[in-house]
Amino acid sequence: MDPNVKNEFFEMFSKSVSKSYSDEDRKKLGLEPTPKREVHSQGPWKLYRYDSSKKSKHPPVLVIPSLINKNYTMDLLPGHSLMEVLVNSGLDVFIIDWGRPDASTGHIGMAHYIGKYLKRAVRQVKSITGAKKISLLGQCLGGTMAALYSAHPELKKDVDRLALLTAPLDFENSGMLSMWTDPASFDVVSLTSAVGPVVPADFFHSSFPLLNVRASLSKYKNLLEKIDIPEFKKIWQALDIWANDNVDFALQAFRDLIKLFYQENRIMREIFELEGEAVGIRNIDMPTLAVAARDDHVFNDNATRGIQKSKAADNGNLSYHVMTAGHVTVIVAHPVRNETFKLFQEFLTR
Amino acid sequence: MFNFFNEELMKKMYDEWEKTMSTHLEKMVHDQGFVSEMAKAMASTMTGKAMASKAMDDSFSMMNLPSRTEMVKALQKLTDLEERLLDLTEKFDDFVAETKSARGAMQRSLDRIEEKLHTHQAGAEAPEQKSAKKGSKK
Repeated sequence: MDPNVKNEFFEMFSKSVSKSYSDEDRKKLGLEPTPKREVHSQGPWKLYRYDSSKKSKHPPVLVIPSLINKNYTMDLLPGHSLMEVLVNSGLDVFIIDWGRPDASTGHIGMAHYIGKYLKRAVRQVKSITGAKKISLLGQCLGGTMAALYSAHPELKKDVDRLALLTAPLDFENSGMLSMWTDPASFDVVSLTSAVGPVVPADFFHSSFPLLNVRASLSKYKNLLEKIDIPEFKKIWQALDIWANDNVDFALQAFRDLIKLFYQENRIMREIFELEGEAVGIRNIDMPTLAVAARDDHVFNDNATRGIQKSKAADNGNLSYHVMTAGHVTVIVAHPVRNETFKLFQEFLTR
Repeated sequence: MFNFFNEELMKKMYDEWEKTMSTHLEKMVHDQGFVSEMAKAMASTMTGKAMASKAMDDSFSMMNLPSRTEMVKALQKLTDLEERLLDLTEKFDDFVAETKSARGAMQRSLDRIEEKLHTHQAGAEAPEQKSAKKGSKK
């Protein structure tokens, strides 16, 4: 092997293993290329608006990322960015950055995230743009939150259309995580009794590589085999930075995720308490796009297929697609990302 | 002499290791019994740690010092207050907006009524003026 390539591999390998990426590495790669500005903030979360010179006739889009990781898989690299595609197609796009919860927000549960924070973000988007209704685009748990918002009889009045990307809704038999969190053996209150007001990212992220053992073990071998492909190298490193850039979880939100979603499957049972109403999957009736990933190791297709039980599916308002990709590769890998981008672009500009 | 750093050999060894490891790990993470025991062991460790934290809190309390738990509670109360304040601000903004639009609607209705009154008055005055003119001719 060429000694230069070897050196490059060892440099990338050591940075990855020691998680010692610097801001310089991020800049060099060009992470988060689409320009945006902060337009609102409250506590740990912020609302950003992407810069756009075009004026759109379509409703503005609010992107709701997952609570588990940072949001920049949606805007990873130039040419590998769903945000870039949406902005270039003339849409007025806003994105939430949930930030890093601290002791002051440890008691904030899922219903608060949706009924207060998300509601406030929607209100801000409406007030800034003057739009009566907006579109919601939720990724992973952000999709779950968007779906619940769209299921509430009052809150849904703000929603023109709902776009879901690898969003789990039916948590029963939804993969390895649902097996691990079986209520018979997983007592979430005891397990988190000593973590303090926030669940440290390492607490749950340490188990993530076990969700896809083979991929985790062959990660560096793959890099070594394809290191001479510049595009691959770039995406590999960008994703590695993202995968190591983990955020803590507010204690109550974590407990709700395990208990209300995984163990009690409240969305499918229509008993999720939100702003004084019991809401569930049936209440979603607006035009909906759901994109699932066939090889998703975080949630299997049973989790995303939950949307097919909604009223939107009954009245022909649901467009459901399964892509041949994984949970994250669905928006970053070539060529599948282009198909995914096209689906969202067409749906939101229809 | 045998070359320990032979790339091909290293690759083969890695592949073998990867195969063995992934087979065992896959089996392990899919084994409900193993997962359940792990969760239970972790829960008891955490419960122990929580008891230690509580003992620490109690000792602070005995010294009349605020514990970490109390400080966190105070911070969370502040978050709740901020939330309440934001809710009220939004409600007030909505009220002002609604009042403004109600006032606008009321003003428009009043304008219409006034306009109708004017038309009506003008209509009523016209025959009076006519008859007044006739009277003066006589």
